[in-house]
Amino acid sequence: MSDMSDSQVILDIRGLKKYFPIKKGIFRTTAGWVRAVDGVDFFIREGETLGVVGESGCGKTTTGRCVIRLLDPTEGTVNFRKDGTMVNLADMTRKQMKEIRREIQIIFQDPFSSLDPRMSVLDIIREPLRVHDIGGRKQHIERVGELLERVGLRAYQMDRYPHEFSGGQRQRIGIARALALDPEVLICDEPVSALDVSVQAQVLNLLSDLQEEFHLTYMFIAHDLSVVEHISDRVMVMYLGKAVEMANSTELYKNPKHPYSEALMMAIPIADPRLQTKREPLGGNVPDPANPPEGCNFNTRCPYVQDICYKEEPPLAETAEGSDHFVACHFAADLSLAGWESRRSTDESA
Amino acid sequence: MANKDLLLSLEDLKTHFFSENGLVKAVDGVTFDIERGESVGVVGESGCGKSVTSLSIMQLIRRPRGDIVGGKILFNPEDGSSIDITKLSPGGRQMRSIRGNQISMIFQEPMTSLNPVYTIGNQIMEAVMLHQRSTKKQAKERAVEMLTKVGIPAPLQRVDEYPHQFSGGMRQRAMIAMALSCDPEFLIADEPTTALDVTIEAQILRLMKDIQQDFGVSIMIITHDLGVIAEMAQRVNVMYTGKIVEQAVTDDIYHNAKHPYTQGLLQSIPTIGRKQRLTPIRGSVPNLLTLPSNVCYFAPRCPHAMEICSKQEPPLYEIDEGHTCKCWLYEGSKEVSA
Ligand SMILES: Nc1ncnc2c1ncn2[C@@H]1O[C@H](COP(=O)(O)OP(=O)(O)OP(=O)(O)O)[C@@H](O)[C@H]1O
Ligand SMILES: Nc1ncnc2c1ncn2[C@@H]1O[C@H](COP(=O)(O)OP(=O)(O)OP(=O)(O)O)[C@@H](O)[C@H]1O
Ligand code: SF4
Ligand SMILES: [Mg+2]
Ligand SMILES: [Mg+2]
Repeated sequence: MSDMSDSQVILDIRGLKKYFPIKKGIFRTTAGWVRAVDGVDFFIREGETLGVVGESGCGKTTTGRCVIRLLDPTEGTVNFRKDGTMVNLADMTRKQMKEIRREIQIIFQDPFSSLDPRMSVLDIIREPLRVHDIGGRKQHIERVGELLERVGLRAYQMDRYPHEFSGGQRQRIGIARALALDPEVLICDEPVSALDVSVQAQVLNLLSDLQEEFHLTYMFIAHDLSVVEHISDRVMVMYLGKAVEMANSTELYKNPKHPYSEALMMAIPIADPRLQTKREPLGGNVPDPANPPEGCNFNTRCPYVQDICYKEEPPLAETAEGSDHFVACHFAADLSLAGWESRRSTDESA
Repeated sequence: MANKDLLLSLEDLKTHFFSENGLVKAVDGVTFDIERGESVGVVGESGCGKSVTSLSIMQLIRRPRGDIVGGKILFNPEDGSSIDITKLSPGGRQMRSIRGNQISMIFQEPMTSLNPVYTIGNQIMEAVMLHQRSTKKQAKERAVEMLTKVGIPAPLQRVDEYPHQFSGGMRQRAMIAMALSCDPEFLIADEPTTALDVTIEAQILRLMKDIQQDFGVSIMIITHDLGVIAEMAQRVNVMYTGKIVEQAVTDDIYHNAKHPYTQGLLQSIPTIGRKQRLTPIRGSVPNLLTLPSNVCYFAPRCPHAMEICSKQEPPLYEIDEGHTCKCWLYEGSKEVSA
């Protein structure tokens, strides 16, 4: 185990797969499968933030939804530590899952469509309390007022409707709802992507404060690599339905070990005109998730590809015992890849 | 006559909308220049008037809901003419010719400029043939070449597909291919990469830079992403609620920002390698419908606001050569007439 073994694993996901059928023709027969998530392994430690990055369509949302069983996994285990023992959420019945949802909640990306416009803020936030038969109206009003104040809104705003709020305020309402049941884990699916940068910073600070105060564990999905580095203790990089790298965030950004992570580091837009080296674009074809390549799934775009990459799929493995740095690349130990800091040096601009 | 290197000048441009709920001064006195071969950035948060500025330049504001109500848009193309675009009829021949030949625009919403009933290839070919006297075969080759340049996989096959067969990011790239295929003098790129993954974004920005350098195209790039602006623009205009609040060369915007809004924006974004708590701007962007007049619109969110800020609109001050800022903190500096 790693040097962080004192903090316990709260979620341990193994071999997670989710395939969606591709329906064709008037009889809607299944013509194939979109392998949205195709064998993902990762874990999250209690009280930490695991950032999840990867290009659009690589399966981030599907992974998050499988964990909380908004989607049923096609295969794999989702172990969650409940009262000291690991339980497999993938096997649970709907009824058993209802209990678990008190402890794992989700915040959605779009603050405009994720709140029912016909419901008042009070009804939106107390909905989970109702579903779980906790308290009556009086307690709900009290709890909702408390939650609103905690996320930076005012208790008197509970009688208002979503359209009366700005994007950042709506995201705060979504956070308040997710917190209503005092969960342990929050899955945040692009919680700040739709927000203006000035407001994005407010919500990121709020999430950090709440984590500290309530000892929350976050799975934080986002495509903005600067935001993910800022908020995460560890980061998982996904590519075409698989986890290709997972490590401490500082380490991953400095010393990526997977060629796709390197490509991401080279592509981060940096808000400083003095740090502009030529961003090295990634070439090659983006494969179709219904028809992923054999061998390593990055082989169509990888600049370091070798014969073996077309034949054998590299497993996600720890680079060294206890390094807490996991990579799925045949040449993880041999390649010397550039991290984001190399963007600072000017000598490499051609 | 003005500087012969000047391609476009906006002079006190005002574009307003007349909605059921009241008057929206989406662009309210915007002044800036774009020189030949230069890339100028416009940055600001959602709703500050970036798209409306670019739609005004293209004469694409739909009347009667909205209209250019004041100011000038002086366009000086290479042929030596000088035209005030605000005086042209939006549907007239001259404006259509400017749109087809001299100014290209990459729209924020890709579906608005792609026609669903024609193949991607046909749409690019049409743009090419409108501009250059080329055969159908040459135009098709050009279409495939442009699709390859913007990173569309299997371009020979994709060129014959329809927009709905493309993903969002691919549509955006197809539109960029189309905008660049007719060798415009001036390219307006409205959030050209916002919907794209960073690896593709890097590719598109590189392409736009190459085209700017190789063909001397002037670019106006609009975005809310301070990273994209830092990489692409030589000069930057920072917009807030329909007005330019700061204008400077890119290095000054990032290392010598004067306006409290610009400073706030820069402090709001996380910097890799520095895990500090962020310093957000308090509050949020105001609703344009309920703005008071003759005040600094940033005052309710500004950490430096003084009494005068909510009583009178600050003039534009020149802080340094080529660096202007609309803020009372610089009272005493030279005032520039808007
Ligand atoms: N309900 C569904 N039916 C069919 N295909 C789906 C469904 N949901 C997702 N997919 C497909 O699964 C793949 C992964 O999608 P997912 O939404 O998990 O990606 P993502 O990484 O969250 O992307 P983004 O960054 O765009 O949000 C995509 O190819 C997507 O088209
Ligand atoms: N057709 C219209 N009718 C009424 N108001 C409009 C119309 N188009 C734009 N507006 C308003 O004008 C203002 C400026 O809009 P604009 O689209 O230029 O913003 P933007 O800076 O491009 O924002 P974003 O970053 O979200 O694209 C907004 O308040 C918007 O609501
Ligand atoms: S004029 Fe006043 S309120 Fe406006 S930005 Fe300057 S100091 Fe702040
Ligand atoms: Mg998603
Ligand atoms: Mg816009």
